[in-house]
Amino acid sequence: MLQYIARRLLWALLAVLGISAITYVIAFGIPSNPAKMIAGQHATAATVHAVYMQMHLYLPLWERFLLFLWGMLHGNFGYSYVYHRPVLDMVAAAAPATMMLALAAITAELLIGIPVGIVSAARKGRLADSVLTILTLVGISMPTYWVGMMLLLGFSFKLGWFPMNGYSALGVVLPALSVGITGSAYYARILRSTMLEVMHLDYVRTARAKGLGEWRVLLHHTVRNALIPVVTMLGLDFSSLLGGLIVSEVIFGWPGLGLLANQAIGSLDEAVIEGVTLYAAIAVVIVNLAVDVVYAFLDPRITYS
Amino acid sequence: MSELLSAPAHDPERVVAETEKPWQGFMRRFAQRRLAVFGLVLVVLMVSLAIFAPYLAPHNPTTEFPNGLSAVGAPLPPQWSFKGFFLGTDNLGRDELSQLLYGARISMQVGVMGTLITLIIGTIVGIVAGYAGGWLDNVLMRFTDIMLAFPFILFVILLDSVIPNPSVATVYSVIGVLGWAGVARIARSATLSIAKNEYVTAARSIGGGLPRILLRHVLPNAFSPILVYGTLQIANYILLESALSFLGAGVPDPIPSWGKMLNVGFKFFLVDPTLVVWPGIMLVIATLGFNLVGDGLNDALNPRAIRR
Repeated sequence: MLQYIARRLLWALLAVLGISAITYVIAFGIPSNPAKMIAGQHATAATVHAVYMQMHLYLPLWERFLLFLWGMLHGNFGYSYVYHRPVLDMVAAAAPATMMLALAAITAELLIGIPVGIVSAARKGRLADSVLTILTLVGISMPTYWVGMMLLLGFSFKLGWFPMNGYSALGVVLPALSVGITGSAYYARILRSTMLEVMHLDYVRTARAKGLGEWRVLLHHTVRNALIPVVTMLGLDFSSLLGGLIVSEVIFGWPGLGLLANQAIGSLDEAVIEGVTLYAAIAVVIVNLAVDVVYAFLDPRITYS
Repeated sequence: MSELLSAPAHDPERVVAETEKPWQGFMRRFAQRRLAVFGLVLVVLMVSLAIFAPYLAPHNPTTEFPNGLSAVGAPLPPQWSFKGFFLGTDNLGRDELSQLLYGARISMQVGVMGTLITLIIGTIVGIVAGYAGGWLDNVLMRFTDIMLAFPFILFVILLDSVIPNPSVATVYSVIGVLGWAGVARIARSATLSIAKNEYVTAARSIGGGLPRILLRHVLPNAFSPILVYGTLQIANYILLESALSFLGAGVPDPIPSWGKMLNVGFKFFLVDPTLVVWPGIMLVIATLGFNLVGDGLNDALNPRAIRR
């Protein structure tokens, strides 16, 4: 077990290294004049030259990358010449809002996905199953941010139940719901298909044979075991969840990484775009690491060699 | 006795299976799924709109009509006159309907071309990794894992932002080049199960070269999961392009795209919600079409999966 965790940790470190390398090559290897990109469109020649010296652009790419890594280890993730602030400060200020929204969004996905999955497995082939299948397919096919707009229009503008935008406990409901509506379908599907598999196993038959009611068998014996792949999916899905939140935040004026990235795109602030991407990818690696380790403790059937 | 022998022949499923060619069976199973056929209708509709946009659109989508704005400079509501603005205009006096029709071109182009690039790169990486095994497999798959850690939209925005003078081709190339990781995993696992088969061993034992074995024996058998994934990926890429364009990192101005129309509409959506409703509905129709066809293909290509 300890060996497994150590290996998993080592792999996470390697992944962070790989992520940094890919990000660095894209952001600073491809542009013909990275100093100008970082300094911004309206920078003076002197500023561009200062950035050139500061980023050690006279060195070969791999040496620059090592210096970049060294900087990262010391908390230097670049500097935004548009906002005149270190990128790390800006990302650190925005990250908690995104993480809070991510938690709410996962909750919404599960609150919608799990009941839908259970009902469609229990009523397989019946009307309820078909209707839910179609509804979840429509859900997958809608842009999350468009659903957000429609929710805003209905629940905030017309009904006035929720604030139009802003960072508040009530304000988290609609963005989380928009992700829940579009993202829950995957959970519903995977839960449905694993439940259908589990339903034929011996212990479920035993539970039925001893006279338990159908719903009791479903909820106590089938769902519990069918939830394992759902947990796995939570870890795997985290990266696309973050991606979806990026756009939703813009709709709801949620002051997280998405709004930050959106501003950076508008002002062509390359340093911030690079910082947000790097941070988000590293967050995905850490979340996956955490899910795997927690998993190793939870499920005694998994052996680690 | 004779009755016993002939009994299976009365099984209609069996008779059909014996007389039809594989592709006919596939067509039959696909046609049996009403949702899949409905999806195909939606896809054909969207592709036709994209192809015939110049003939269907009442106006030039990029022209900013002086008479397309109200006296105070606001978007116009729908007008049902000859050569009118049937769905109204946007904040610059551009015809909404014409933009919707031309927007289909961008969505289809980015969805299909991006997916093609993704499938080519992903299939090559996956088949090579699965067939070679060993350290090469390890390196390629670890690289794939790293690619999957990036939230895709940020990854695309990052690469997009460093490319000067972007065009529609830039957008689908960037999406296609960065998005291969999922296909690579699928192609690899398909290759792993195929490479164990006797016909591959047989091909190798009679001296078939590596490229020949991969192209003639492995690829055709790995084709169906890749095709299903590709169809669903078109839907994902259509949504992705709209999100990119919405954020201002997608196709450049003045090319009309549904994502950009949503961006414009969002600024006015409390005054006139139709500007965000229409592009959204177009996006849902296009995406739903490809998702339904992908699901239908999945069921039709894996007949055993239905029985379960």
